[in-house]
Amino acid sequence: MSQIGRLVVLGVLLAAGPARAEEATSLSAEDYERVIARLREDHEREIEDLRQESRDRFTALEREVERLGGPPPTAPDVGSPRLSDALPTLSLRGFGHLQGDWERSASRSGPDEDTTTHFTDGGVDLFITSQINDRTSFLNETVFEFGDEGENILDVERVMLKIDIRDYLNVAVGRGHTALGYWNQRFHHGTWLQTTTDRPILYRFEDDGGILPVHFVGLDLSGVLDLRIGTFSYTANFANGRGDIPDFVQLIEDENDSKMMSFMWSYEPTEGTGIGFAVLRDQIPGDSTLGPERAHAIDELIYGPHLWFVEDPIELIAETLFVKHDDHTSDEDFMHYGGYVQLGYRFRDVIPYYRFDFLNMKSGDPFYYEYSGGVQVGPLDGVEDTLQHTVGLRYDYTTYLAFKVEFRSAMARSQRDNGGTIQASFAF
Amino acid sequence: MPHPRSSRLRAVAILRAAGLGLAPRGGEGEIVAIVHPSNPIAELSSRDIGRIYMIRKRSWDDGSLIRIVLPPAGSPASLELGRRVFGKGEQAMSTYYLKSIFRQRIAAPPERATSTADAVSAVASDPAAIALASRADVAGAAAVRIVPIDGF
Repeated sequence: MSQIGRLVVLGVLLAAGPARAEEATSLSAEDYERVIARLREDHEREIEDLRQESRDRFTALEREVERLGGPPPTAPDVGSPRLSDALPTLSLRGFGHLQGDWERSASRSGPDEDTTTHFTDGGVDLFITSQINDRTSFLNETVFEFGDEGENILDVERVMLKIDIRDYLNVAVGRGHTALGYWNQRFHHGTWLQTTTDRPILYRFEDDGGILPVHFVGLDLSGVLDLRIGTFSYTANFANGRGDIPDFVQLIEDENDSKMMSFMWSYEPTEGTGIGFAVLRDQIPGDSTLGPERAHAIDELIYGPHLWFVEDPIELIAETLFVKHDDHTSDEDFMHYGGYVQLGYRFRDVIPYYRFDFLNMKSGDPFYYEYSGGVQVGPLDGVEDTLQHTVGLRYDYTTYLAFKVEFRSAMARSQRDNGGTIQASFAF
Repeated sequence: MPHPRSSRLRAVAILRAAGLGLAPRGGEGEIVAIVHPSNPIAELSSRDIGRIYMIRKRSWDDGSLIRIVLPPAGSPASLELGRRVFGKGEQAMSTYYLKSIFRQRIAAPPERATSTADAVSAVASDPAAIALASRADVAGAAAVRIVPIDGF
């Protein structure tokens, strides 16, 4: 009788109870004891067989290791805990950068001109990861940086608990990078990761004049489907969405019931080549205390394609995103768009690169204005039509330490900016 | 930035088909995969190896999570893995895994065997493990099963 069959008989007997089992099968108490004893013997024999098989395998392994000249292996311990039972692993890594900047700004409508040079301690981006069990991992990215007045700033940038269910479905919850496009998924706070010293204008952070919700708080679903013609991957977010101003990432509450939904897919015929598309929908809550222009909600739709060809020695990345705001206060629509093309070519440890950034903002969108005391003050700093050229050189001094020299020339609606940066960025 | 190159794998496969491969299949220098004897996988392609070692394919067909064992640093298997899958060698492999941690594909880099014997030991004790080694180093091993890699 098979193991399962015996267990079923035993289960039936036990479920019926000894008395009823005796009745139903005409088994005496002695017969019942014999069945139990027989089952116990069978189990013990099978356990001994398994032990013998394990010993045989270990003996074979010992012989092979001896032949290969390696250290003696440890005996297989059938009772040793799997990862799911073991203590969670924890690792701490990080990124940092130090840089010197030169900037010259000139107003396009007057004689105002300003030149500054300064060194910047870019702070430290600490990265904690933990494998909680076989399929569950935790990630925390916290940035320690300095404000304009030299004050310490602590930014918890990412906190994600992720469960790997299958290749095609991973579920994560927490604060992370919104599924918007290539840059936002591949690079973020560690400048060592990216070729350039700074992010594209399109992907500036929310607290740095950025027009996009690059962070989210909520649910993240992602997966990969690997086919012969290439790899399809997706990332979807279901999250709190934006607050009433661009800099407000809603961490612990949501000012409206509407949730932000985003979906990004990409197709990669080879690992370093791909195209993709992202779409995001949200409703930005109204807030009349800011000013009468923000009395009602704004419907937001963001969408756009991205492509990349990052196969050594070439790096080519291009993205465009359109941001459409339907303002319920003024009943006006505002369409903004931005993007960039970045090209680099590696010569051994040196990568010369060029990037073209563009940002086109339709004027009058109340969301991208500053407010003070219930009055609209003016457009947010840096959120205006801009064309920027960036040229630079990255030198990988060691695998985890890079030096970069970069020059930028930007023409915005209100001013011209020229600048340069020398940066040391590293991972540790 | 260095990046893995599946197209390079194809190029290697073409070279091999033309008889220009560096480690001909069946030769002692051939790089093979080793898995637990209970693993039913019959063969692997160079693309499969790329997917597994680049954390794109994370589970076997039965759903169990693949445990990656990296070959010993500096070994022929490690050099070939770095060159053919990660494009620029062992260092590119380390960089790739660091970026994968940043993207939360993995929480820590895969374990690296200290010797071929260590790799054999790791695979022999875990039905979900896979390692790479030179065929000559693992020929005749009974505690693990050798799986040839097509095009590698």
